[in-house]
Amino acid sequence: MRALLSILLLCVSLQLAAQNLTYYGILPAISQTGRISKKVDYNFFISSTIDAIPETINGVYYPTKDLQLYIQSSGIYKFSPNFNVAGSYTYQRNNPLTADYGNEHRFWEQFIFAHSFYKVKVTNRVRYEQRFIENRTTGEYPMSTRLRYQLGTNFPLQGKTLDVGEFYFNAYNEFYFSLSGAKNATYSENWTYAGVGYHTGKGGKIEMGYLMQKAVRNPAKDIRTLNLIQISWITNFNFFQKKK
Amino acid sequence: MRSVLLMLALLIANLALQAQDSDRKVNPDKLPASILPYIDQKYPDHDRVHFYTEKIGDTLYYEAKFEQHEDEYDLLFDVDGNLYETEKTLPEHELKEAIKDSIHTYLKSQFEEYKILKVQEVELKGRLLYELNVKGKKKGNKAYYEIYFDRKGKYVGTEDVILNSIPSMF
Repeated sequence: MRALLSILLLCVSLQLAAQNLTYYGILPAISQTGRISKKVDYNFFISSTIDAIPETINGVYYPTKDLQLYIQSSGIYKFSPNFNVAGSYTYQRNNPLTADYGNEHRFWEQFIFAHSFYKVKVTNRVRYEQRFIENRTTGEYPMSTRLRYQLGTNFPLQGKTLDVGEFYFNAYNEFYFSLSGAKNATYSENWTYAGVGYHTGKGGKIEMGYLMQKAVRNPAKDIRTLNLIQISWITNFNFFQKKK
Repeated sequence: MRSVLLMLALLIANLALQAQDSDRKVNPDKLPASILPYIDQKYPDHDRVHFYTEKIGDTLYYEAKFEQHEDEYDLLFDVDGNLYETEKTLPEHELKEAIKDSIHTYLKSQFEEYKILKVQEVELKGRLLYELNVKGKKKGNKAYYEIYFDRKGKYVGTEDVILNSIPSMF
């Protein structure tokens, strides 16, 4: 009987300790793609994830905060209009402006395969990451690996092709699987995004959408949910382009 | 937070200013008066027409894009409303056999392997051409080309096609 009571108390205690966190914020991002050669492009991407609304959860106060700085440089090899491979070095800094910051260096390799499904372009992206996340206590950067699969779509809202002055729709879901190293769960994150963009012309594309990032935040499988308004400026120009 | 929003507002304003001097959508009211009647008369069953400005070198043109009977059209007019170029997509099987044979003979002589992705009829300054989008393999390397033939299937010229990478963020 005492054992049952203990188990019951433990369960109640665990339930009370469960801390699912939900934040609301914005994610400004800039992406620039340019040509290196006929077959190779580069991409530079930078974003910041900002928790914009202060709130108190389970008695703990969470002020507005810059949660993440993300800087990604990558090289893209274009095998065909529908098949690209890419590799990257990425720097990520969590809580970049506060004392509890943490750095991460990351390398990844990916392929993207695009195809049409009922006149809608569908993209499949598979990325394999080698992550070196700083341990602030030891100063070491142990490696962990992760596999990501993104299923997305991107299509013009006016006509068959995206022309200047027109809108387009972009959406994806991405599954994150932690394979090795420190992890809270194997299926550790899920990102869902839907947004609408506008092609301005030489000024690039402006896109705004809703991004929901869900992540398992501890071994007790508590979930951290980020509800974000993502605002992106996407440019695609070449610094040394010949005139027509 | 306020400074981030301010930066975004400035960024968007800057982009809007940049967009004004580049290729952009045009309101039909701003076009030379002869363009719309020409399209209505020559393509009576056309769907909605989208107009843009396009610069080739230092010369400004008006571009009209539309569909009629599931064929895609792309017309270029000069600033006085004179037709400069017409492009129309065409299924490959609609080409005459003699023209097809001539085109394939040329492509076989140039590529180890090839595939015709798209055929367009082009009328440029009164000259009639076929424009083919081709994926071809030369010396083991696969690449994409725009290859032009005249209306008898005789080779005219080739332009390399530069691919865009598939959009992907994060």
